[in-house]
Amino acid sequence: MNEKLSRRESIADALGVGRGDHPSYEMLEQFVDGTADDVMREIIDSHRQVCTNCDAELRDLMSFSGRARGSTALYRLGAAVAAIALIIAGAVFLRRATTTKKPVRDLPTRTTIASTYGREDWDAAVRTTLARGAIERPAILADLRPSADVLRTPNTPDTRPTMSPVGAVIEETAPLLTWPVARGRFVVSVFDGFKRVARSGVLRSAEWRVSPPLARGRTYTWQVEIRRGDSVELLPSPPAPAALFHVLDESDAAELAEARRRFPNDHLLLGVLYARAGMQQEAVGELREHHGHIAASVEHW
Amino acid sequence: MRELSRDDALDGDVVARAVPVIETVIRRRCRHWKLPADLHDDLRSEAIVRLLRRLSDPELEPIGALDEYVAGLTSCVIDDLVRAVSPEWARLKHRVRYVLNHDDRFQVATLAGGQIRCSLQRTASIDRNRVKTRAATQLAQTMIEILREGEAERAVDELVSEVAARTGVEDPIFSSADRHLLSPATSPHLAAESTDSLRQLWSEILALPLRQRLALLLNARDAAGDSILPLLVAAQIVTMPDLAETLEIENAEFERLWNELPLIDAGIAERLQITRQQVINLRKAARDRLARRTGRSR
Repeated sequence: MNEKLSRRESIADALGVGRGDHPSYEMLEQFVDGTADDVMREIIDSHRQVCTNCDAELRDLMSFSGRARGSTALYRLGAAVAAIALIIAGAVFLRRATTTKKPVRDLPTRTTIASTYGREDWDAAVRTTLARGAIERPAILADLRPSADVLRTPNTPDTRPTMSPVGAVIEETAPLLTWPVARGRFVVSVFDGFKRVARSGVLRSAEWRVSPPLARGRTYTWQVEIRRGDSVELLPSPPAPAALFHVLDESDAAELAEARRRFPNDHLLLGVLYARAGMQQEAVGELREHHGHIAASVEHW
Repeated sequence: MRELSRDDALDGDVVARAVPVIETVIRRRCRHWKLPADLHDDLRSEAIVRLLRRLSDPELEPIGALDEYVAGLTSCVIDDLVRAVSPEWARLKHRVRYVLNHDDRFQVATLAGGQIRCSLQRTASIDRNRVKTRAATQLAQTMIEILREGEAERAVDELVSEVAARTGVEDPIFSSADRHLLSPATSPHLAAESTDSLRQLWSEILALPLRQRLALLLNARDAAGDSILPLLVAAQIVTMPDLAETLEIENAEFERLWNELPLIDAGIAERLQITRQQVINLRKAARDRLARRTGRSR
């Protein structure tokens, strides 16, 4: 018994499992600027999967620097819109200056609601939700929840409620995948279209955290190979529909991070933003306590 | 300067030499924050523990310049505490540093003790390097105003505190209750090794990226210098074919490799087409991740 115990201890000792340091600011900066080599990127990616602080810091810095794809695009879009607005304003001014003055008609005054969040899109989203008392299902969820094969018999069990995540939008780039089969050896594969982007080793427990992290803004299919003796089964198995999930894009992830940072206790705003991104469970979680009827509309998606 | 080896860690002289540096850094960096005395003591102790741990790590190169290293390490200890107590302030500091390094209206100097000081450039730059997001533009403007109004040169921490005051971010407020943030306690049920905990550890190893798996397992050895992979097989944590699959090595090649284990880092580096130092870094990252995932701590 003592020999066994000391053997186990020596295994853990030999692996040298112990907490190291967080990545330095300099490492984060190189990661954000894209100047880190692939090993450093892997180390940081691996660390941020287990350290929420570093993950949040990195996301914040990416969003701040404009290196996050979405935010750069948004910034450029904003700049383009501003430029077009200036051109239009200039043209209108010139036209007015050169045309005969017409009597000014009284126009209804546009009501301006004071900004609550400092972001017009958030103000509008919350206002609309309160007015309607419900939130519509975003289109992406329809894509993520295909119906079962037409040949499926009515008694075929649906695998969707038991594999996770399935038919969902998720925020994490390295989600924990779980499936409802307790025994066997498992190999999990994750695909982007037809290309396999991640594969586990042989697992003995029914869960696997995806590694390497997945790219944002993409929809993935995943499946589990169940090995028992010489037999191999697949989960989900036809005619059950494919198991799909979507990883939130950089811009939406940065927006959610900003909302959580600035308004951590504003469950309505967070619920609305989660719902808008298609993150159903998170939205219901935020809305349930104080906005039950809105939460119910999301639950029924 | 004389290089220090891990044997020196046993010598109280190293600690005696490090403590004044640690004290200086803590006093300098925390002088605007009300730091309880016991937390101050804990910061010092944590810095010493990390220094001794670093010196006793056989994989790492000896430290070249002790004072600079200790100053940097102490700053890291303080940063870890600040980010746990006030993540918002820590993120703001990252933003300020990012602007300082990417906007040519500012200049930055790192002093010998690791202190970073910043000021405005005296001459206008032609290149006009800027961070082109709205948030960065606003932050840079605030930083310029602060540097024009007060002292021309500031420590970065002071600048961050000024920016924080103007943007509604609170400075970190420390209390004795924050002491636990410095050294996360080991989870007692995981500290005791059991087959279950080893299985959990193994499942986490499977979740590591391949290069980290290889860097960790191919080199792992027990106190006698023997590979631990045969122990894992003997303890029925994993079978040999599964090990081969985990390492993504063909069975025939793995059998051949079996007798050569543990591999030295140079050998692993050659397999992975990276440097020996990168192998060491990957292994450190793997150990860190395993510790965080399984609740272990050194």
